[in-house]
Amino acid sequence: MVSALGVTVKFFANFREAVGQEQVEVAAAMDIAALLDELVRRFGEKMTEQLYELGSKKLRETVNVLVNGHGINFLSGLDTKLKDGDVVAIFPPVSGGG
Amino acid sequence: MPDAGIHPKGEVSLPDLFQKLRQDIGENVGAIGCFVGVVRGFSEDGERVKFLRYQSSDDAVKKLEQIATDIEKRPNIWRVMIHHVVDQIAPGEDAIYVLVAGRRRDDVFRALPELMNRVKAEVPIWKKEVTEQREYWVHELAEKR
Repeated sequence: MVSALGVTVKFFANFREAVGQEQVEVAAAMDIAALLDELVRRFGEKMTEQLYELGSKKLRETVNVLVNGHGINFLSGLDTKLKDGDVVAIFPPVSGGG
Repeated sequence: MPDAGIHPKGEVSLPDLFQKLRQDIGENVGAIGCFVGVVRGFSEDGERVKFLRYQSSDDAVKKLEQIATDIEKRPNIWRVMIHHVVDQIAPGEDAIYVLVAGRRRDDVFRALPELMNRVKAEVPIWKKEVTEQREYWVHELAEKR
């Protein structure tokens, strides 16, 4: 379900475990950096550990962030702007198959 | 129409898929290849595996269909089926079925590893390995190596 106002954030794998929810709604996040700050504020150290390299604000290489299905690496990275109704997905590298 | 899906355990089986494929097979098909991904009883570190727990996003089926469609467009490939079980799966149980029907064995043998490589790299499915000693998401183990 997409929020009428704000951004929907969907979590998968280790991120879902860390927050204990499949998705949350976040209002008034201007860009991805602000959104991640809000997630850290809500979920604390466990979210920081999953998102960032130790002692820095650099995203871990295993973190994928998509906005409406598009990777932020192909948008504007942490500066990618957000608008109401956007859906953000956060997940680690995929590992399907046998 | 691509034949792909995400299923809970028990909803899909190799005999059923194979029978479906054979029902309307064309006269140009000379080879059917099959890959079955099976859960191993021991981890990469030699720990006994209790089970794997798979998780997928809503987009996983769409991605499987896209991969099947891409390969079906090739000359000499008649049909591709990709069906992934997303559930808690024990050692010895099946996690994925890939079937390819084509004109010759070379066409089919070439397609199978490419299909699986794309599934492992592109489809939003994750797995957690639970051993007798610990549990971890598979990417976490790779990250530590």
